[in-house]
Amino acid sequence: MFKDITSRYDMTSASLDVIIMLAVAFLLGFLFCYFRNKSARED
Amino acid sequence: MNPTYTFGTASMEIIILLLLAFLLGMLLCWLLRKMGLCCTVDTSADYGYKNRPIPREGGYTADINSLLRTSGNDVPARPRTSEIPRSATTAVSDAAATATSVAASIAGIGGGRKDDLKKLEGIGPKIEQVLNTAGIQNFEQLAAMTPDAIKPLLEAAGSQFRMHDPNSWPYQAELAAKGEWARLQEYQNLLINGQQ
Repeated sequence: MFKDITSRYDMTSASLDVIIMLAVAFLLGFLFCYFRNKSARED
Repeated sequence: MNPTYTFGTASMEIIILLLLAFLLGMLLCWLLRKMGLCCTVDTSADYGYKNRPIPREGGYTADINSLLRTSGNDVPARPRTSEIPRSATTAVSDAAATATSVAASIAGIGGGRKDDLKKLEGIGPKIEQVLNTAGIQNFEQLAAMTPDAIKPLLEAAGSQFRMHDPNSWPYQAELAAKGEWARLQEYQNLLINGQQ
């Protein structure tokens, strides 16, 4: 997927792949904050 | 093919976008927590403590003015059985001695009863265990201590506990000991939302 994106003309033509990656990164950021907060409370 | 859009440029763009998305996710989580819509622990259950007879005598001075208490401006009116100065070093031997002296000074308070200290905001199972080990078993004992006396116990327990701020614990314990659960809940909401 990474190669597909970088071999395209520019970033705008790789929209679907980029959206999926960004959604996953967004979710990871949310979960990271959530679980960090949760473990801090359990201490 | 765009000659200026190289592999390096594309990689950089992707990495920056991923980082931004990650940070955006964290920001959303933080905002939801601030608004109380997510990631908060329900502390409303009273587990039957409301009916437990709590001694009203004992000189506690819990009132709404305590909400204004800061670490540098502690209310002096509350009688403390333990005033332990924080030492300059945090050596384990010093901390162990501190824990021993704390346990000795508060041993008689509360009649040996064991309370669920986890009901106080900021205290989880691990910190409760640390406090129990130091001889603090019930709300009256914790209420009789100062934050400065509690900090060495946390420091002695390990580096993972040093970040915790015990400034509000004695006041919370005082409210719990007096059975003022509604006020405690109100104060805890203030702590969660205001991060006092």
